[in-house]
Amino acid sequence: MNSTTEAKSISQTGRCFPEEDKPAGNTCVADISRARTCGIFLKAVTENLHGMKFIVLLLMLILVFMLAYPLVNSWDFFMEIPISNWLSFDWEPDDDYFGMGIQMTGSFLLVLTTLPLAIIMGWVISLQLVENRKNWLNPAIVGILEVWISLPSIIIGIWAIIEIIPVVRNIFGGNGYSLLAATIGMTIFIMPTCTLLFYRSYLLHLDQYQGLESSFQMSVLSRSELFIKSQPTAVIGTINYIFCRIFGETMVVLMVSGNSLQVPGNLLDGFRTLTATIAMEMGYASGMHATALFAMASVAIIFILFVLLVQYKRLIHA
Amino acid sequence: MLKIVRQRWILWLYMLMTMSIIATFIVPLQFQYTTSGIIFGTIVTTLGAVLLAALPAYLIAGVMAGIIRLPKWLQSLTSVMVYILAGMPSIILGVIGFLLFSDTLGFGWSMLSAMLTLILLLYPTLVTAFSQLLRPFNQRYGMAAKSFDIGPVEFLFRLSPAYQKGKILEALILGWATSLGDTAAVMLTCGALTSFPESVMDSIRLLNYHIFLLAMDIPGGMPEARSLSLLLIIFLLFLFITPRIAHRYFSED
Repeated sequence: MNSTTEAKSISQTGRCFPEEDKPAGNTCVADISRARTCGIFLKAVTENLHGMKFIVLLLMLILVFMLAYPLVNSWDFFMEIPISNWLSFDWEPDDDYFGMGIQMTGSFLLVLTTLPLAIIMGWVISLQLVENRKNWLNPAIVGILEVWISLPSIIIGIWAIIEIIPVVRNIFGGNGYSLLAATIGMTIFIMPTCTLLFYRSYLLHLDQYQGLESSFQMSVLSRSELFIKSQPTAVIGTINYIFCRIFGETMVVLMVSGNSLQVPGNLLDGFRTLTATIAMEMGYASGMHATALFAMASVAIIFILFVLLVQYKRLIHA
Repeated sequence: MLKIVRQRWILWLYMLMTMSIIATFIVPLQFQYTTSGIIFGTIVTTLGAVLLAALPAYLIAGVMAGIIRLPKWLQSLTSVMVYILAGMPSIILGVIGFLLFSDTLGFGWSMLSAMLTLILLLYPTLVTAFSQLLRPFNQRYGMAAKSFDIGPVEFLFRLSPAYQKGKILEALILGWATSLGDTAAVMLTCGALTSFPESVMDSIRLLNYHIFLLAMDIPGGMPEARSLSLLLIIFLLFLFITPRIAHRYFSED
């Protein structure tokens, strides 16, 4: 029996798919059959799984190589410059002072102020979305959040310059370009990602455990407690991811932080982050200055890898 | 009415905040420094990057969706790489692109360098989007395809596109929106020339970087930056509505 008659007989007897899975117009069987008869040559070329393994492995090796490339390029820097120099707080590349302390502190302070705000606000909005998931407002807000995620960070930066900086300047004094302004801008920027990640993992969780809603109604736990206790991986994974997003964000910070080369003493001081330094100085840097910027990128890569992979086994199993 | 607002005041507040942010950009349009080279270069670079990234991302999505069965360590490695690249800051990807494509491979500040850098940025987005559409398709038709002796690659590249044109288009449009929204990854690789590009080796200024320069460096450029931002928001909204229509009219499954 050739493939076409075989396909016809299957489509007539309906043995290929259960009744509820049958696609509209019953064209799937015909297409499968056509794919089989037309694709003999393609199959001979491509269905070699050893070849496929090689291609995937090659792609992975290319990606690993790319991630390691800044480290390879900054190897000389780490060999030549003593650790006390590049961990210090003196960033004067022209005089061979390559301390990353100020930039690292700036990045960490930004994460420290933004992360709790973004997580709490994202959590509250996602719980509201879950509670109102049958309301018309839900798809509207989810749509808005999806657009927000793809919105360029410079748009938030411009909005922060127009709206936030004058408010901070008028209320607290100073020039407005400060840690506070950067925190507000970053919270607004990062909160949609946080909200959608929590919301989607909660919905996935509801799909997996159908009785969750009824157990929530009967339990003494709040909805948040129930979610954290039953789905810790989703919560930790989201926090790790948001941490990296805040640590690595460049444009919003570059536009509203003031980029002062100092450790901020309070929320109203300007500051500079690791990523903003790379973005600002890469255009004109040369020699050891450029290598120091690559080294800065390598430090950021290693740090982010550490944060992402700290829960590696748990996340892979999940 | 008041009761409804009181019950869901957080969601209403969020909607209000979004409206107020968009309202900030509603100003009389002004275009003085924007050239056709910027618009054309942005469209070509971002679209080219999406198309270049689509094939490897689709293949890896097939691995992650369980269509192509590989050793467990290799499957774990693919998942971990997607997870790592998704969390990697775009400026770091820009540094990698600058070092590798602009410097070592000698492409310089060009559209090609920017495209190749954007592939790194788009890879996790596209893999996630593709694997989300491939996983249910595999669960539904995988066994049937096996009974017809259809291999995984044929299933992936022949059957799935035939049935999920709309969903694939949706993922590609999402990728395009992502690449349009990024600045830091390309500001180190594309250059800043505003002239009309004649080949992929020419330097261009991408729209986002142009908006950044208008807002920060060019005196009196802020009104134009606001106008361009508004147009970009409207275009992104259009991009998010289009996939839903595409999905409705092109997906047979």
